[in-house]
Amino acid sequence: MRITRRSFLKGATASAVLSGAHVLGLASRASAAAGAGAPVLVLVNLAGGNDALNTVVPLDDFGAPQRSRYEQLRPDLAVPLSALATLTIDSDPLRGTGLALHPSLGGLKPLYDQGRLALVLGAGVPGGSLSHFEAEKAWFYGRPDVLVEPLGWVGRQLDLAADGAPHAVSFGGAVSPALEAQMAEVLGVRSVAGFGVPGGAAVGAALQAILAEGRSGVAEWIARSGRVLLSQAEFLAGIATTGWGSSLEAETSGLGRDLREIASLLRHDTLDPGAASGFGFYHVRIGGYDTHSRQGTLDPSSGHPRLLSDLSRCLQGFQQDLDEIGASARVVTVVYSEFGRRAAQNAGGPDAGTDHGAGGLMLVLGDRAAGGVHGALPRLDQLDARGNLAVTTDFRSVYAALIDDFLGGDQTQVLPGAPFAKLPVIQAA
Amino acid sequence: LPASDILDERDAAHLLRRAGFGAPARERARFVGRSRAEAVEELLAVKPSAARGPASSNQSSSSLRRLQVWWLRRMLSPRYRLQEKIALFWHDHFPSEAGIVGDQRALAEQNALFRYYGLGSFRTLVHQVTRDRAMLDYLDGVRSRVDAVNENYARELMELFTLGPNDEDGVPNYTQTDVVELARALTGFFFERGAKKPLVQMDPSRFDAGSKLLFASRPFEMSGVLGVEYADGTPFPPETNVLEALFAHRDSQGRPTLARFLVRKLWAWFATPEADGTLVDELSAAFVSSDYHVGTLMRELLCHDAFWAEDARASTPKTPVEFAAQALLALGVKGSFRDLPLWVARMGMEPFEPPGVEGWNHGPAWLATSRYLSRIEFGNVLGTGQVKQGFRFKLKLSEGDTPESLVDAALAQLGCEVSVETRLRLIEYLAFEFGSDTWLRRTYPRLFALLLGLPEFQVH
Repeated sequence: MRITRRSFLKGATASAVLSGAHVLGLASRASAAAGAGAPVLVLVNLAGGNDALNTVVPLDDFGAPQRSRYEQLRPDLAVPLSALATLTIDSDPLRGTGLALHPSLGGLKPLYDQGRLALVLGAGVPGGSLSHFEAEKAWFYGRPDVLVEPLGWVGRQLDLAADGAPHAVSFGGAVSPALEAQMAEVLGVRSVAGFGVPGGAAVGAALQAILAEGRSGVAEWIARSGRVLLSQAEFLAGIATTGWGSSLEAETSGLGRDLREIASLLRHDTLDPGAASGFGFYHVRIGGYDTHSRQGTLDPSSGHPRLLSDLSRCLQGFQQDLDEIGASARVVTVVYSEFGRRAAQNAGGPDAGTDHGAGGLMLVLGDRAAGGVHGALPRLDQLDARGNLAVTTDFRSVYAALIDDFLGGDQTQVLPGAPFAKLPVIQAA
Repeated sequence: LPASDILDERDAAHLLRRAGFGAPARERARFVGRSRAEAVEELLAVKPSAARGPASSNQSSSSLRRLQVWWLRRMLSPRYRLQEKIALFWHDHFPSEAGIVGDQRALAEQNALFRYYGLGSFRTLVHQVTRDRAMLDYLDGVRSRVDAVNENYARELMELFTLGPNDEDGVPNYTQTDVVELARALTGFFFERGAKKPLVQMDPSRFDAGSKLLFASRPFEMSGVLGVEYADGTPFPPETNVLEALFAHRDSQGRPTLARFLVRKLWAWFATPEADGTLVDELSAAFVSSDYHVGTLMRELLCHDAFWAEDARASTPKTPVEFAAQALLALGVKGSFRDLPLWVARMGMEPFEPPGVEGWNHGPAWLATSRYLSRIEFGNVLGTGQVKQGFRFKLKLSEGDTPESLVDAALAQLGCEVSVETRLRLIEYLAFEFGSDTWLRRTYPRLFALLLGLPEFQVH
């Protein structure tokens, strides 16, 4: 159980400064910060700790004994070389070790070859925790010292331009802590399809009037959520989420459905820029990556390979949708996970899995991504005292690049402890 | 007795909402005039029950639905109240997900554990959960053995179930070495997957019988052949029971870590989101001196002045299950409740499908945009009496009723206090074409969408 205490406290102060227009849910879409050409950041959170080492796999011992250690540490989980022949990508930029994508990521290979997929090796939180919740807080809040009262790193970016209208949408029902803001409104959406206040105009009008009354504390926080809901209900109900030829048309749940709905909103924004959503940030969370057991190696119907196969299919379909909509120039998708997994498998045979680890992997996808391999594969012959891959790339070096070079912001206003050296994962427009 | 110790209508509603799932007005009235202690005693008097919901070994969503409906209906029964409320708390505390634990019988068994031991000794409960089939499957205990130690359960046992990662001063309560040592001590449990009656056993050949050192160089360090049971199956000798190390743990100030951790969590669930230090001192002292008896702690908690204080009321967003149950009970909705699991799932809280090992994310997250919308939709479904979904509800209407009388009656039924302005808005809504056909078919039933959407009805 987690309680977001700060959210309780912010209600009263935040409501005091909201404009009257917003209180009535009338914030103008035309004034929205994210116009039709503005950058859109889609964050995909693989919850549980993605096994980076079986996502981008070492092929040889060039520069360090990576492949041989990999096979020793993972006798039942190592992806065999024979399955990797067609999936070779650029070598490790630091040591030259050969690398390949996991066979389940075949759908991403063409995007990699087009230079639209950046892979960040050894990404993680320096000195990070092996606890899911401590580790993911660092990613969400953009700082490793998670004992302080939190604000999401995206939330802090949103607060800089808070104007009473929501510019961020969090899928999965609740709002991701990464998006938690002091002032800015964020939508928590289970599904865009079927959004709408029941009972017709009379119920809506009465509810609007009731929610606009002055309140304090928790009740005001709730009323505020209700006002955002009413202000968006009509708009969201008008979005066509199916029937327009999406590559993800058949996806009815999970990552695929969420990405299809995001593509549907971006399509709307492109077709009707005058009534654009104003949404510049999306967050999607997909679980299952805590593969302590029965992790699997190649069979795409179960375990980790199935997760990667879903991820690949959905990201590929999403990127295809963006291309067809004509939105790919302004959308960057970033995939992250709280940590990588232990270098050694924890059991033999079909039970084999991996425990919580450290150095992980980030994916940056889109026309603006500087495709290729970034960072360095942590050395498998130099694991840390806990048997984990080192963190070779501070996650904030990617956040800093996204903020400065993609969003056109200023990392020093968003990331505590900034400036950080930027990893060049974004290329000029 | 001081007058303030005697329950009035508001007090009775408060107690029954927080220590149960709400109640219809006549049931609330039954508690009026009693002392706090008497009222709390009645709620605590429920006998431990081994009742177990219907379950099969398959993984179908329809059989899971039956188990969910069974449990939710039991929550609505005036006989159980606190027993089911604490069972729901333990399900949130020690979660298991149907999507991961394939065998639904294991989930029903775990649920029965929470019902049977939920208000008893926390020591016993932790032990039972440690060798519980659903938990062994969910957090990989069944796959953890001497030659393949799996850290999953050991880590969450300390981080989420008993100690927390850091104490109140931010000092880590354990190290990664402790996770590994505890994991080694918890090896050896085993059950036959797919067996007709899978029985959890201790397999000495899977147990790590080597010496372990837990919480090294702290005053409560424990070493030796730690385990939960001797490898020969002798049950739980206290001198080596590794779970005792968790109870012996002291924070950086020398205070009982486990007691304080649980007190804070129970307080947040049953009273207010935050507990101040003195309150935690008091309640954890009672918990420790009762040898970790949950019922005793709950008695102290529910009788505490801070529980009854004005600022504890309307302090906490209701969980979806609490919200739905309170609405159904207050409005007297009957039926099969067939779709109730679907509705609480849309609101973000599907029983047997918590979002992860940390349980549900409480607080304002319950009222995020879509989830709030589902609460309003649920009001619409109840008001319009969707019998096919399993909800039968008869709108009250008699000769001489006015918009004012109907709004006041409905608010009283729900036990919901609103501002003068809100009351007037509701009356205004209900006054439009009052008494017409459209009013009867559309306007009046949809009043309940409005009522269940009131910010004041979301908190308790």
